[in-house]
Amino acid sequence: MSGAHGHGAAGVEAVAARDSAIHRLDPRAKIVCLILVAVVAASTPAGAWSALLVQLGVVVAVAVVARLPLRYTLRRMVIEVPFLVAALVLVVVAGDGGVRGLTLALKLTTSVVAMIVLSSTTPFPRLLHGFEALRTPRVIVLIVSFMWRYLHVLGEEWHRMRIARQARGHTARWLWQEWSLGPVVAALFLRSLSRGERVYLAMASRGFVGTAPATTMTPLSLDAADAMFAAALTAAVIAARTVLV
Amino acid sequence: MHIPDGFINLPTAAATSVASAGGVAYALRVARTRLLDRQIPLVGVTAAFVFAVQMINFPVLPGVSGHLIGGALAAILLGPWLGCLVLATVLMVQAIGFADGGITALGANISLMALITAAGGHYLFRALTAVLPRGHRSFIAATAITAWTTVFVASGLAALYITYGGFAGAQQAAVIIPVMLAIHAAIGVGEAFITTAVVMAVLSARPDLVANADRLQPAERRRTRTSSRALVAGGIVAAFIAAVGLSSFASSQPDGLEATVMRTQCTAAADPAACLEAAASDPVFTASPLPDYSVPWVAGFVGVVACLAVGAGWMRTVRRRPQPTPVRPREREPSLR
Repeated sequence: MSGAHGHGAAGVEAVAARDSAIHRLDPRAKIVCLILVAVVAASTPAGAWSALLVQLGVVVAVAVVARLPLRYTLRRMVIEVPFLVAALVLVVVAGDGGVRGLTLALKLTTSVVAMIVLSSTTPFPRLLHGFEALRTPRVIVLIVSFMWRYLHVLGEEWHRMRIARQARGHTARWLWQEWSLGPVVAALFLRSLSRGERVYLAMASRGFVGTAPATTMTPLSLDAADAMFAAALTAAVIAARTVLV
Repeated sequence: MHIPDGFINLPTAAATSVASAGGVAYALRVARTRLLDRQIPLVGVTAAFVFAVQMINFPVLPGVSGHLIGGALAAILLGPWLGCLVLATVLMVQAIGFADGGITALGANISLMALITAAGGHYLFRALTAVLPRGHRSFIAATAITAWTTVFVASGLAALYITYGGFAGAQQAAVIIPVMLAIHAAIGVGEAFITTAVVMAVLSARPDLVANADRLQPAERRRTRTSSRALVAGGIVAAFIAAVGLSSFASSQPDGLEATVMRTQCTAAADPAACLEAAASDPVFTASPLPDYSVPWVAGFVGVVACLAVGAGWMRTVRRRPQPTPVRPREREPSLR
């Protein structure tokens, strides 16, 4: 199911299922460190070029070590293009030699790459497991896991309804021919709800009690690699923020 | 409307994060006691649906995109705090999983799209249905109005965040705020349409799941007519809101065509300023009852009524045979076999 951002959830999971030093790290370490990088980068003052470049370099280095495909990463970075345009506008409009605009662009890119690395090196159930281990409220984990499950239900229903529409001769070349979208969307919601209820009953009758499934996955455990990764990343980013500014 | 990292300054990010954390914490406390097992599929499907719907983006300004939010939908189906949680969760997944919306801006995004839109939308809906006569039509009208209003208000607040509280600065506010409001006034119509369609569908099949179903008559809670009239009524209400509410933001400067005409006529005149003034008060422009939309909201109101009257009259004359009666939906849930 691909959205207007030009990437699909399936594509992300395919890359997350690969193997590399970063893929093997404990999800908790990745979550904490990569979010820390994004937060520290956002708080860096404008014009601190060395700090900003070091922070960007750190996340790019992690992406390289994780062996993320270049075209895939660039495609996922497409989401920030409108915001890069805003930064460009700021360069032109602000009249301070492009300092604020360029700072904005660097912070934006750092944050986006950090999140791309996090989501591309950790399969979704394991990521959720990591969040749960970090004491995220149970209700939120529940909503997220069901949202993820039902996204696929929704996608499959939509696919079926689209084919049914086409099989009945629907060719929309003009905007008003899309009037049927209203009832289709409504029916999509209802059918997904029906199917979703059956999925939930099936899960409940197989022993689902509200926690992320831990049986089919290796249990989480922090080891030396995680400690080294966390130490290196944190040190680099905080040093950049405090020393190089 | 997802604000990325770096677009809001530290005080704004901190304040909105605190507010959002408080709101989400309260919502969690309520949900822990109120979330029933049988609601979980609805919560999950709503979350997935909101996530899917939010992926449809329209670029608005460089750096700002507009999209359907789904907050009013979540609130009307699930109640204020569960709806708020669903939106907050979707926003968190988008920020972390898809880099859509910054991490430091997560508090701001949650305050906009979960607190204002879902929790606020719910209370707006309750207020509207308390005032309107109890029934199916009022429910639908209130749904449409709530959906539109929440999008409109949230977009205004987002504009405030990035101008007074962010990178754009207060000097850009005069440009950014009206543009955001205008574009989201249009997007709000789409939001009202989709929200109303889905709420009507769920009401017709599973009214027991809708949190706000107590606003319907007891008999209607079992079966409801899904007539297209309700949708038309919703559309008319939306048009009035847009015309009356939006018109106050319209610029009073002459539009491109008028200004060009006046300027070319007056470049050769002895006194260009006086010529422009005379041209502006030309009977061509002033002979109509409400010249140049002089009182915007009255003009908007009158305009919509006039268009509706003309349009309805035209439809009556051109249609060749009476419309077939709408087919009543099946009263049990749709079967997949």
